[in-house]
Amino acid sequence: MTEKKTTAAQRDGTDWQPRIVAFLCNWCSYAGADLAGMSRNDYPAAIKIVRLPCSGRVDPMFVLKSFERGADMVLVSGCHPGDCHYSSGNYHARRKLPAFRELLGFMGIDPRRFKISWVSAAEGNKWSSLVADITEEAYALGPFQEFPKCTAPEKTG
Amino acid sequence: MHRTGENRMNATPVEESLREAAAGAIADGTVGVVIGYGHEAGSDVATPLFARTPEQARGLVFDATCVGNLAIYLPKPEVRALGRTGLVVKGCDLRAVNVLLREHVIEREDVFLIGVRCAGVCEPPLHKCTVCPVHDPSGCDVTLGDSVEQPTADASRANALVAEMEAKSIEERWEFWKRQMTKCVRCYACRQVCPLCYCKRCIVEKTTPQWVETSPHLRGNLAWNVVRAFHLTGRCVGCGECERVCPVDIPLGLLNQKMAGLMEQWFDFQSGLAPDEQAPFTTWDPNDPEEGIL
Amino acid sequence: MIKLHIDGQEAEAEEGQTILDAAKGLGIEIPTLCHHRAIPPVGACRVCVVEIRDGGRPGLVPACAYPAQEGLVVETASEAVRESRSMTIQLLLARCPEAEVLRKLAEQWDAPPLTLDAPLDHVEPPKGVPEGAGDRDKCILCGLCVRVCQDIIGPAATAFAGRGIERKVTTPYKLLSDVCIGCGACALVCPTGAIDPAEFCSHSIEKIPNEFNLGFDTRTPIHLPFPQAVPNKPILDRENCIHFRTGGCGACETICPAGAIDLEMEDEIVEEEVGAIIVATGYELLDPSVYEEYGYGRYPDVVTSLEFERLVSASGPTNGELTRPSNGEPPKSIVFLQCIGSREETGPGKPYCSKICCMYTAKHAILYKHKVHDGQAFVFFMDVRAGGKNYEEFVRRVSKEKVATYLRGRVSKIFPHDGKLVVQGADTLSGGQVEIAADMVVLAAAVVPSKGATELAQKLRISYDQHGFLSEAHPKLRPVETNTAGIFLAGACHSAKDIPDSVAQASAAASKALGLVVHDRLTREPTIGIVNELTCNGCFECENVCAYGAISPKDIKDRSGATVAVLANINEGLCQGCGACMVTCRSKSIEVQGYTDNQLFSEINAITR
Repeated sequence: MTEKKTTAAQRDGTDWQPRIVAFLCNWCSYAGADLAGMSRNDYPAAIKIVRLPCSGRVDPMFVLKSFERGADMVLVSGCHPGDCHYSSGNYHARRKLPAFRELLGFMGIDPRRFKISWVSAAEGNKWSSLVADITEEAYALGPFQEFPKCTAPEKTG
Repeated sequence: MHRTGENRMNATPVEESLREAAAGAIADGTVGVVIGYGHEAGSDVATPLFARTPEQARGLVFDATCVGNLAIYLPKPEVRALGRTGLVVKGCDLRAVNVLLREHVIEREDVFLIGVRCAGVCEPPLHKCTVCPVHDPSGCDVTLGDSVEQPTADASRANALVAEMEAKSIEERWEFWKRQMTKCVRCYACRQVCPLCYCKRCIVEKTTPQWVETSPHLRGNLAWNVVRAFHLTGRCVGCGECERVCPVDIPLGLLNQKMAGLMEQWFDFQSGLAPDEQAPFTTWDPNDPEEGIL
Repeated sequence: MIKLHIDGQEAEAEEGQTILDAAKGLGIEIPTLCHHRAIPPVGACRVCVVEIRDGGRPGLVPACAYPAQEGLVVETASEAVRESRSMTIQLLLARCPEAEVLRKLAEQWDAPPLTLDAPLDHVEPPKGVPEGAGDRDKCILCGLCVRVCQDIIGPAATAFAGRGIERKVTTPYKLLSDVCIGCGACALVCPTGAIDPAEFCSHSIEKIPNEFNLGFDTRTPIHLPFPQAVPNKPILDRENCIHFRTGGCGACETICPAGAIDLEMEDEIVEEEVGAIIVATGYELLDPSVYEEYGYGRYPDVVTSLEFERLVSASGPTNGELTRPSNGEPPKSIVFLQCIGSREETGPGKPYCSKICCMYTAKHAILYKHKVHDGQAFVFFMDVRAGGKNYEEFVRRVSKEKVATYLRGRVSKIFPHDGKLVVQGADTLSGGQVEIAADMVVLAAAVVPSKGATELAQKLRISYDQHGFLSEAHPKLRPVETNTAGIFLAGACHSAKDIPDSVAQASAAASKALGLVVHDRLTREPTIGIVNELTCNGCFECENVCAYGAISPKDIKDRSGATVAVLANINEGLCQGCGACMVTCRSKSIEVQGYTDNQLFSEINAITR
């Protein structure tokens, strides 16, 4: 994984590193990430984690807010369907978040920059390989500039 | 075919029965006010008319200029202070009323619905009218007008504009919306006219935290329009008022159509067809789509 | 109370009791054959004769049928009684020399076998009845079976037929019986074991495999689930019970002296409010038939370790006698295969070590040697993982003392040859192929969670891993708690573990649970939702998304008491703080404490700086 990072940076010829904001539910994905750490599984440091009680707690506007603030990618991860600690939070997330991604895509915001995943508390390995994969994709997509930088009023025709 | 105040007395049979029903409901105390359409000199479209006496009800009209969605007035405390509200509704307006009922904004006994069958307004008919599934408002207290043929639903026509946008690349879409959103002056007319934007405090007015930047730059404008479209997802009934009133002509209806189409495609849901429906974002199904989830 | 004298002792009996009952009260044993407590006596076999000396008409009477009367003086073993009883037994034994119970009685009552000049004629078995059926050599014609079928069960499937030496119990016209319901009550009451309803019942009578002995023997519908069951009471298996299948029988209800059986009883759902739950659903073995090369399921002598455990158990199907399932002979050579489905990264097996197999295989080798002293045991292993107090020493003893020959390697194939199972495998230490002709093969199959454990976990809202083992809250610091407060784990439902580890975890879970329930008040996480009533619209979409029913309408009243608004209200005892309501609320009128929007925005701002 460290190797991948180096190659991507070399490819760009910069030391740019993507910034990935991850919203993890406390019971499955956060515990899964914790397990990855405890199992000494390596994964890229580009990901920054916000812990929430549940993936159903992720307001879609958090995603937009993260992009506004300069995130290059956003990940929301929760329990697998049927396993939600709160019984249905991830089912609500499964309706709202993909719909929000559709809306972003419709408005020209690359939906590949918004990831949704299910990682259980026992899937430390899945977590580290998932983070490695999406980090690699974030390198490939490059910096997400349009959004945070579009504060100046533009003249348009 | 624009009609003006001068030939108001030259009423159509629908208007006669409308005026009669409204005047009767006011006279016998069923309602404190009937909100319908009237004509005002110099206006291309019918304007809202608040009839509180049977005489005022003589000013009610119903024709192709009756574009507006009068359901917007139902939640307003100053309107409710007038007593039980009588409301003239077309099929599309009734859908908004149904959402208001579903969200407990109003109760059914608070309103007296005068439904008018409608095949579409404006000449040529608006896009929303050509794909309207509710030409005949059902569940009203009174329903007026001749029966109207209900065309079979045509999803491809309903989604034609959305499909046109989706045919573009991500970059083209971004350029399109960037151009559109840059125009936004944050007047919030879209919110004010929306019958479903009834919040006591809109999310843009919440400052701790600041959900949406209030400055009229592209980033704030985008955030506002995204949150507006998303708050209407599974609720918007497609009345198109937001787009009609936008002073800078942003195609806001397109965003709403995109999300309404998605709700129909994913959850087989059309908003406002009945007052007891379950909004898609307030329920779930174990077999919901799972695509695109890692 | 009736008073009488039996063998010189004063006996008491109630109205309607017999001399037999009164004698039983004194502990005097009178032999019986045709008597059954639940069936009205007829005094047919006359083994129970006693002598009345006084208080009635003197003479020999059947104790089972003669009523206890005031002032009777009875001798149960007088000379006349002995003579009569001995003669009766002799005659019965002459008719039924195979009957074990008669042989024992003959020994007890000094009744040497009569010698007959000519054997009794064989009587044709009923038509349509298989050859050799209806073992007439054991039937003493007491008619108990006929009476139980007629008086208690009801169908009257059998009756006496023929006269003299041709008299016998049979079905009408000696045909297979349609009315027989196959309940087996006749076989149950028969004193000599002469009758088997399977021989004349026209319905097929299926044997019910005994689940606890893994199907190596059969059981009745009423059975003890397993020898150490708590409570140690029989259970009735409704699916196989004749009464529940046909509406007939019900003999158990009549026969049970304690009146403990109530066939009218219905299943009921018992609801209990509890303060803590301990999940201990245990494990089962991976079905090794997925590995065709071992032939499990095809060759009867290939068994799982659990099946071996039953076969050597003193309470098992063979009463502890280790025999080959194929032919009942003791296995002279046995091969134990370890890691069947364990430590397997690909294929149908599991990647984890099942942890208990190394130890129990060593134990099995010792048990095998105890049962078959001259037998040879082999163990194929990958690694011996005997981490535990005295574990390594135990395994080393088994291997050093040549209890079993340990071969490091895997087995590639097992096939039958010449009445044996040929086990082909590799011995990686010597670097060669080995071939062992074994009588039995025991597979140490992988430990997997019990069926239904994941469904239970979903009901309890506790998490589990990809194998179905239930997850602890923290692998180091909270090993017996689950993520759901008040639910604890014990034993192999959590991971493969042996008895000491299971006991340790169970003790920890019990003390954690007690620590929770001894307090009068429950300490809760403060992360619950609060409604901002100034901005709530009262749309109640939050109520729709709340999985706990914690949100309900609240009337907001003005000073005069009139309701001015109906807004959402959160019950802080029910709210779990998931935050689904916050996301659903468009006016942002709910905040979950500890995860407020402000706090999360600050986090987002901080990490995107």
